[in-house]
Amino acid sequence: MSAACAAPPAGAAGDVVISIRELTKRYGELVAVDGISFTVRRGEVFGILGPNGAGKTTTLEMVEGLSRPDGGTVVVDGLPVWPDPKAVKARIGVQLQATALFDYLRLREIIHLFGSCYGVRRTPGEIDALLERVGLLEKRDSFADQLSGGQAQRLSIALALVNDPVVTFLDEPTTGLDPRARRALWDVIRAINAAGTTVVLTTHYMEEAERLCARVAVMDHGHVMALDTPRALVHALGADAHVTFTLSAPVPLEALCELDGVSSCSAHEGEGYAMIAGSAQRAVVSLLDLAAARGLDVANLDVQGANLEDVFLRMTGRTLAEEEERDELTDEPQKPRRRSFFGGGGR
Amino acid sequence: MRAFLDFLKAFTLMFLRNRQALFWTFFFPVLLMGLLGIVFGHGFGGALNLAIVKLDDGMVAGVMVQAFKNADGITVSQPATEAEALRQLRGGNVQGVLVLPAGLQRGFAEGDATVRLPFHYDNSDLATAGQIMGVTQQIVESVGNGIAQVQPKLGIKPLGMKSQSLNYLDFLVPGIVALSIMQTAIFGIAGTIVTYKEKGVLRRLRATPLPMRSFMGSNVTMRVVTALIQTALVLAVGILLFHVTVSGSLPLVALVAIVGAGCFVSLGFVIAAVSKNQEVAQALMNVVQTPMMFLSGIFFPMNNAPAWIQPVVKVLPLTYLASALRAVIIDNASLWAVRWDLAILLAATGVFVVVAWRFFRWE
Repeated sequence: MSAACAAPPAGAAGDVVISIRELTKRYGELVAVDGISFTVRRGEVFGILGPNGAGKTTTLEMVEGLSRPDGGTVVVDGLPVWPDPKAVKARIGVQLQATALFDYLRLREIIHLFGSCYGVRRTPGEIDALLERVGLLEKRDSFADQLSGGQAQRLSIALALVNDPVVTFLDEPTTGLDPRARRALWDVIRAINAAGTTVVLTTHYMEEAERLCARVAVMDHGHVMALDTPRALVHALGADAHVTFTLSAPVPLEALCELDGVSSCSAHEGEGYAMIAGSAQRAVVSLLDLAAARGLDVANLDVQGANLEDVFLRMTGRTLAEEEERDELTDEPQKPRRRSFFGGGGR
Repeated sequence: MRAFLDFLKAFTLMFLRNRQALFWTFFFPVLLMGLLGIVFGHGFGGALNLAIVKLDDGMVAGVMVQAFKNADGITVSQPATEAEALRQLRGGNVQGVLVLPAGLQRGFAEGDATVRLPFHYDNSDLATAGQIMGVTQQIVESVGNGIAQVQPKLGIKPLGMKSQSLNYLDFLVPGIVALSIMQTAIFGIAGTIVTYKEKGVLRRLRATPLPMRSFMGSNVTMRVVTALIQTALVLAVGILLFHVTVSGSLPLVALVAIVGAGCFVSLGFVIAAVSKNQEVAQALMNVVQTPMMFLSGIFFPMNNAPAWIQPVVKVLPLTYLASALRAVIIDNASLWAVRWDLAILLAATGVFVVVAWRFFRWE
């Protein structure tokens, strides 16, 4: 992995690989995507962050050539996607939300088949290498419905790489996974990017966007609310850190608010104090000075940087946590393999 | 082309690994044939069916037909030609054929001797033959008496013919072939396409540059080939285990099977087009297949069914596939003889394709 990281991405890194202008999609009265514009740079991991229904998936579908826009243009790797998306489809990899795959086919057979869809014939060695990249080599002879949720997502990502795409699109790749499976998938995505593939992913997990993405577009109600690096987005909020602590004896709130670097403060019955600090370092140093001067003990000191959650909250008035609660945290195998005559399943 | 072949291989693999599909496709038709053969192997008995070929427009012929229609215990059909009537006799749909030849009116009026009407019967089943000949003779003579008031002016001229000693299984086997073709084609297409639609597989495939016609084409090819294998299997088991007589040309049987499979594949696409999920598709498949299974002359001839149901029988595509297969398999009919059955199947295919095309949604 680290060797791959050292290699610069193929092509001119940093130039534009996707250019979206005034892209619009309506479903009857509903404007799902409302004239959005942005560009994705070659070699980056680009995140589209937003709650369900924000227009993330619809945007991806128009870029992937699955859904015809009602207005605007999309250019991928120098080729306009519409009116004929075929050439673009050949150059991109796609992982869709909740794709189940063919029953009764083994993983290596599915990969071979999808290679065929792109006009590439993968040798058994190449298929194994691809499965290895997503950590599924030992499952090469398993059937798709024997995989756990996390494994199924990794297979789906392997299929998004089968044609050596310029850009690969991952639509909520970690939704529904438990935290461990999610982190494992992040490693896979980082490795893919390190090998030179531009990655565009949608997510409603703050942490995912912060950890993975070079740049993030925050979407809500079909609009791009903000677009920048996660750090810049957070910095733009002006609030650097939340500092919480308890003291061995109460102090007047004014004394805390006047501390160097503190922009606001509050006292919480039985839970101690909270300060929002423009500079966490100066705030903590002056707090400790104050405590020493008054002979108090500071306990339970916790300093937390502001995050994209705060950005999202500021922009939309909602928290993304409300969205996360709706996901099941499961990584159980989906269903036992059916082997009886009457067990169901189509023919 | 490469992708087409890869998908053909994949569909075949998936099919062969699905024991349920294998059971219904290959074992079930043979089982059904065996069970029905055991239960009904000795024929139905009971109803007598007579075909009257009326080639004379005179009064006598008219009275004669009416007399048979009024008679109890005998069902009358009127094929246009003697050849058609004989085909029905060989096929076991009727037990006797009475011909009212051209010139009957004149011969009856002018001649002194008894006019003898040609009567064909199947002498491989003498009990039934004797029964229907007796009834026919009685009615013919009484009509002659009624008109002429002179001692027998009308009689019958018995013409025994040897059918290939048809029994119920001879009748049943082409029906089972037709039924299997229908089920394989409809289930194979509607079942898979709706599953792929529901699971998002179609969406994922559409995100690749693969033309959907390659994917659909390989699916269709796989189902048609399966239908041909079924046809061969059912015929082989029929011949080896149940000693049925297959006298038709095998290439022609294959051609009829392919036309039939094409028709039901396109009907499968209609169901796939309008079904959002498996439940809807299952319900539609039952709605479409059940009437055909029982009203298309698969298990028993529909000539005996009440008249009001005949229009239903006539709009079911399976009626024509069963009819064409039966004609070719047990009656050695030519391509020309089954041209109308095939034309109707092809026309239905055209209609289904248009409807499926019009309503198909990928998601």
